[in-house]
Amino acid sequence: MLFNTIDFAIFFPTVLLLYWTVFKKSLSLQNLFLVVVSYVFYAFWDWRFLSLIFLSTIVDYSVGLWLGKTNNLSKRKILLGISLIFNLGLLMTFKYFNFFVETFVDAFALFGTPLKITSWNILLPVGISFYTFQTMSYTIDLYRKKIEPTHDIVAFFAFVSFFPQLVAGPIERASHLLPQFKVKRKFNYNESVDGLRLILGGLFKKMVIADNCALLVNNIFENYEVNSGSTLFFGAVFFAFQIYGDFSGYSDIAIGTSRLMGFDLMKNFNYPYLSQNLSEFWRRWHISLSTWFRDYVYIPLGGSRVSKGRLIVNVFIVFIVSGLWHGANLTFVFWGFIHALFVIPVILFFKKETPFAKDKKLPTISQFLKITTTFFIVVIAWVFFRSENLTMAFSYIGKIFSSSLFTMPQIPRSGIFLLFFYMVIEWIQRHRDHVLDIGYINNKWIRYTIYYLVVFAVFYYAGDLQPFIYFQF
Amino acid sequence: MKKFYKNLLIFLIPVFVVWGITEVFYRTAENNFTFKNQRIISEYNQIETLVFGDSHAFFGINPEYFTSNTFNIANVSQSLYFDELLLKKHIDSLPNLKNVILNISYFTLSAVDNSSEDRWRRYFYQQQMNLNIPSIFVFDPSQYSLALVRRFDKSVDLFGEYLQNGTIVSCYENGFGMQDETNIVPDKEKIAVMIAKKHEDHLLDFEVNKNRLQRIIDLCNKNGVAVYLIEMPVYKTYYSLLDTAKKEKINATLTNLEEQNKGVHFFDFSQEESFIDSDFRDADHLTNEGAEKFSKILNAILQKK
Repeated sequence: MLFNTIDFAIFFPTVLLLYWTVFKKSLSLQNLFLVVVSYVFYAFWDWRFLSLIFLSTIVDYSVGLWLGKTNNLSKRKILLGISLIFNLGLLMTFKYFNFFVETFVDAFALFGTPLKITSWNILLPVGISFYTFQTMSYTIDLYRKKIEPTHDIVAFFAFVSFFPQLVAGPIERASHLLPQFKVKRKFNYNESVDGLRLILGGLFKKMVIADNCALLVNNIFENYEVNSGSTLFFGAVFFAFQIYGDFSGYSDIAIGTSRLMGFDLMKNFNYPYLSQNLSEFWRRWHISLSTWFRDYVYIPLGGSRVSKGRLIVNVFIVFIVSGLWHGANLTFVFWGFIHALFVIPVILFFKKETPFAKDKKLPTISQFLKITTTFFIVVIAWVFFRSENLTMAFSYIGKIFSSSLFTMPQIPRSGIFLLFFYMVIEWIQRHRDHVLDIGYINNKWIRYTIYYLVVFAVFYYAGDLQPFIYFQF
Repeated sequence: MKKFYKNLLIFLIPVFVVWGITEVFYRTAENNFTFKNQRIISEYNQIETLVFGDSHAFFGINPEYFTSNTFNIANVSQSLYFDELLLKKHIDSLPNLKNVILNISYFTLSAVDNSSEDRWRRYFYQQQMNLNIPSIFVFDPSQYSLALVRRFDKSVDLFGEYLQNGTIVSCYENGFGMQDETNIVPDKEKIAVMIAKKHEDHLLDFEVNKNRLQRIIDLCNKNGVAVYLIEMPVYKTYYSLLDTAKKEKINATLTNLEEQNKGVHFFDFSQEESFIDSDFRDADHLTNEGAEKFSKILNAILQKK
């Protein structure tokens, strides 16, 4: 079920009403209700894959109980191994099997040894990368003794399958979300109103920005051979906004719907296109994933407390794995590689970026140049993310940096103007929780005018319905 | 909680009002679906030739140039799925029907049922042309509101058009689509590349639509109606960019249907030489002049048979 559909517009208010009325009296019943509706929500895509979520939940719940019972290090390692092998096994089977088989065959073919191994026609279960990472964080944190195992199986089921963030995050940590299933939730008016603002802002990002950009992007990328360098450059810019609107819009709606049910999910995006370098970009973009990789991959590898050579290797490992997390294609690996390439100099040589002053209306020239440069690098890297293969990506970038870069682009000017206008709004709101966080405007009429303008934009300027990009990851 | 729900409902009142107005508009204003449905019913006893198909036929086959009494029931993005349902619904009520013309485009045989093109149209076919379309899913709230199935901007545009012209019907009484004569794409080479890519679905499985065509043919045979399977003229660059293997498979499938069934005639006009650049509005649609030329050719064929 997509957030931006009539189905969800009926599903969610019904769930919310029952949640705060019929099931309000008993916490267990409320959690059980959340599990049932979460499974229904997921079943709208493919009910068969519910078994995977169910199995993942059972395995990690059981591993958690056993981890809580033993202090024997070797036993604990075996238990953690079971959880990791199971979850990564799911990912390997459903997401990466064909990629590795094909890469293996290609590698042998390069050395003149053609192999005949047939790949399988495997469907990718929606959201598998998200919920497996979420459950793995539970067992890893238990192994590290950072949290206590839960004995409440219903709460654990609800934690793994919680429908607002089940299929596209934010990837929550057990230490943050699981305890929220164990305490009685209270309805908070102000939080709920802000939840609605988040949902409205998220719908705007998804339906107005992302879905409209998608139409332009699809057209430009599919016809990149016949388009000029300038058009291709703006095609990549549009994709930057498509993926941002799509994914951050989803996160906003997820956080907003959770807030309406009394839950607090972690912030996943913090105005990433205002970053002054690539390192900062990763502190503002898909925060739940970047902190996951920081805590469970980068720090265990030694983090930054190692030699410079080792540090460089660690950063490359993290970004390449992060690229692979997004999809089983060399384009994602290369996308991660580019980011690593530009993050390393920041870690090694640059001081911390100057934060934006609250009282300044405009960024300094230096900040503006840094933002622009960072955005430009991110845009070029997105070309790899969007391309079907590396050949297409290099060819696309090659065409951007040709003489036709200095011709008039064949794009709607209004599109560029509106995206620039949106970035101005983000700049104004840069110190706020989210782009539609306008509760500080005292004048009710101004606030309501803004709400209605956004509602109108969502209905009137919505692009054709597109699936959320991150569902495939 | 009560205060929250109360304020939310008050906030949403304008949204509900607009929804209601849009719903009333769709339920009361005549459009191509309701118009064509009424026209075919009122012409039941006169119609001799019935034209089915997508926008290529809607804008490309003009009944005005046919000797027999002809009605064009084609529509934009109308797939074989809807063609079959329409034929099933009306054929028994058409006592004088002699010919059915079916336009087969490059994507017709590989079209997948319930595609994004059909997403909103199916509700209009269901409710305004009274077709019996099975629900894809048990939970389908869109079937209760036409305002919800169309994009809001399109609804606003149609509403504006209705206020300005008093109608949103965009076809003539004979079902032929009205075209803006000034809306001719200047760079046909470029649009040909783009449209060829758009139409390339890389699907070579025609089984579902081949069976559908066979059912249409059987139904026509049963009623003594001849079937004309037509590939319409398209711009040369567009044609050259289409997958040759798929084109050959389409032609082989249609030839096979012609050979295997009585009363079936297949004509491939896709590269008909008499059609020049000015006959095309874009890469795959004819202008009014092109439609006149093509309709006269078709009429001559019908008269010969």
